Amino acid sequence: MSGYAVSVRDLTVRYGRTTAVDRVSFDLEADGIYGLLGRNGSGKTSTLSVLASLRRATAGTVLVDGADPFENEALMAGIALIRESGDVLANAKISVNFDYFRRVRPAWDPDFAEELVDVFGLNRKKPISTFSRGQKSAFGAVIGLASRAPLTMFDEVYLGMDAPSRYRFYDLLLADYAEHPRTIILSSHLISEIERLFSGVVVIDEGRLLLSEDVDEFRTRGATFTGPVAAVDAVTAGLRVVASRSLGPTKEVTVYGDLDETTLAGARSADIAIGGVSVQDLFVHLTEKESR
Amino acid sequence: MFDGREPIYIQIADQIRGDILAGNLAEGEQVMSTTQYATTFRINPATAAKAFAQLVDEGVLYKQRGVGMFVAEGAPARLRSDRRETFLAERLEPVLAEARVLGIGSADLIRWIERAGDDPEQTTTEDTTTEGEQR
Amino acid sequence: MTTDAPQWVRVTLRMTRSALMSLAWFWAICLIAATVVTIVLAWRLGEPPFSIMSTVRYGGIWYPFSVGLILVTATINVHVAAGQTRRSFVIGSLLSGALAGLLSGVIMTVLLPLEAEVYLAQGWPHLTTSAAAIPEPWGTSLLLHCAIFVTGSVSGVLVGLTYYRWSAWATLALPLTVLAPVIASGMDGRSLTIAAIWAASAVTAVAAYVLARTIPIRKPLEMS
Repeated sequence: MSGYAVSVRDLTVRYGRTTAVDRVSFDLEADGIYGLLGRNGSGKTSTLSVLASLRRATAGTVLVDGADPFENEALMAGIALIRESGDVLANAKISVNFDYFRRVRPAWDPDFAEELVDVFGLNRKKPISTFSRGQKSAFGAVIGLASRAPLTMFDEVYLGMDAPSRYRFYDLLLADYAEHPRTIILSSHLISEIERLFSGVVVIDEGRLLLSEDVDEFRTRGATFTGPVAAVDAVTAGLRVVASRSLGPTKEVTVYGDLDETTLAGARSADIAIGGVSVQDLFVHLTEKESR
Repeated sequence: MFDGREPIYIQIADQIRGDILAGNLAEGEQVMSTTQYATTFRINPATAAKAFAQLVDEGVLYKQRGVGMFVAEGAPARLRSDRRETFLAERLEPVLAEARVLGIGSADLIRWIERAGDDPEQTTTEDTTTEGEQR
Repeated sequence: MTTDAPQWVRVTLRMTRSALMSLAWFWAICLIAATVVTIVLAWRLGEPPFSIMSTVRYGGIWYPFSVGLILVTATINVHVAAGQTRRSFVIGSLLSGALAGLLSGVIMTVLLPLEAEVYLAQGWPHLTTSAAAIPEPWGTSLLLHCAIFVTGSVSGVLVGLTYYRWSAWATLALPLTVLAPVIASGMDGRSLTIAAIWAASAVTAVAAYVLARTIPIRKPLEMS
């Protein structure tokens, strides 16, 4: 089974008078690992909830594999949203949960699920409600991975895990994704650990879409120019500056946007060092700027 | 690793070329699979696949169906000659242009080069490593 | 795997299985308790003052009610987050509760005359408390007792959904959502009342279905 494509058009989600998501549009091709990035309260969870059919959009449309997923029996079976709080049979043991998910998830892999329990070292004898926060998160990850849903979404599940478990999760996700390609969305505001996993990123801030791009494109749009203050100012004039800091006579400016060869050549000839910007830094700069 | 401004797949391809040039990967030797590469370096498998596809296109690697990917015969030599060309065109040319502007004559330059290049063995290896690291 | 059957059928079967399990417990406990109470009362008072089995009917309303309520509030998020529809959830909850209720109604309809036989053999009067009645023709008795056991479960599902949807505000809707079982607890055995219980239960079931179809699945309440 391969992944589902996702298409979001003018999605708006309101809770009473609060607008959580405001006319957001983006497309995700089938089969890819996407980052849905945004600060806390930016509308990530609401967006994912609509994709997972956990709630209806206030306005706008969401298409998964070309159809509206809401209450769509065939589609919903292939869409999984793993939330940190965990939607599992909390008072039951792992085996009872696995029995349940095996019956409702068409692509469920029982052997893989057991293997994952061993990898994360989870207790098979106790009910899930007795697990620590990290273990609950890990169990959510197990359910999400073993379901092999054509659209699998993890909403910050890994935040509850300790570092070794998180890296185990990334490795398992990558290895399983390579063998069973599908559409995976990871939402987070802590990106540095996972930014290279992405094939594309969607950034939202305060309910609005900031950008939705191929990750390589996103990264090449960001650059730092470091050099003498006057020279750096001259080169970056007219560019979209998202951050800058001065160290005496030296200045480092982070820009975002299409950089043409002339600009780059100009910078090089003016003895300005051009550097890359991590997705994490770009994200932080962009969302800082927007919220001002 | 892979912190440059270029797309990651280009950085990966460069790294593999560097490994072949440095002799870490020999002719005919099997390279990691896309999946192994992706999981080892925690990068998107599609990104790794793109890098490998580029190297296959260039004839640096070749694919053997169902077995894996291998370093092509003659790849190190070809890469070395490519690198030499780019070194001369992209690195040395600007230096010479600058020298011309500053009025440094060919004789001066040659004297410098001869003094620095007392040990040709060491210079060549140093060249490749610094180049690799800068990427 | 029975993936061929529609989801609501699969879910209903699954839920009915657990409803029957809980029903078995209910009847086992009730029968033992009723027997013990009858013997104790007969020993202390000479004769039981009223039909013990007829008082079990109140449990028949409020036990399925709490089962329905807990079922909804504890599992709707798991059901939908596991990729199943609200539709299959609400149909499964209502139908499994109704099927178990009908079975209990039959059991009660059979047990009451049996109890009367025992009382008669002992020379005890077979009475009921207050206005409650044991309707005479067995058909009427069956209709009443099925209504009693079905209505609590259906209302429990609606109350559960209302609380899941609006939390504390749902208390305002309580008089409406529990209307059917409140009517049922009169148990006066008149045809009009029996018809009213069935009608109120049907309206309750429709309300539960409509409410469930668009209900937002929030984050689970317990956040550790």
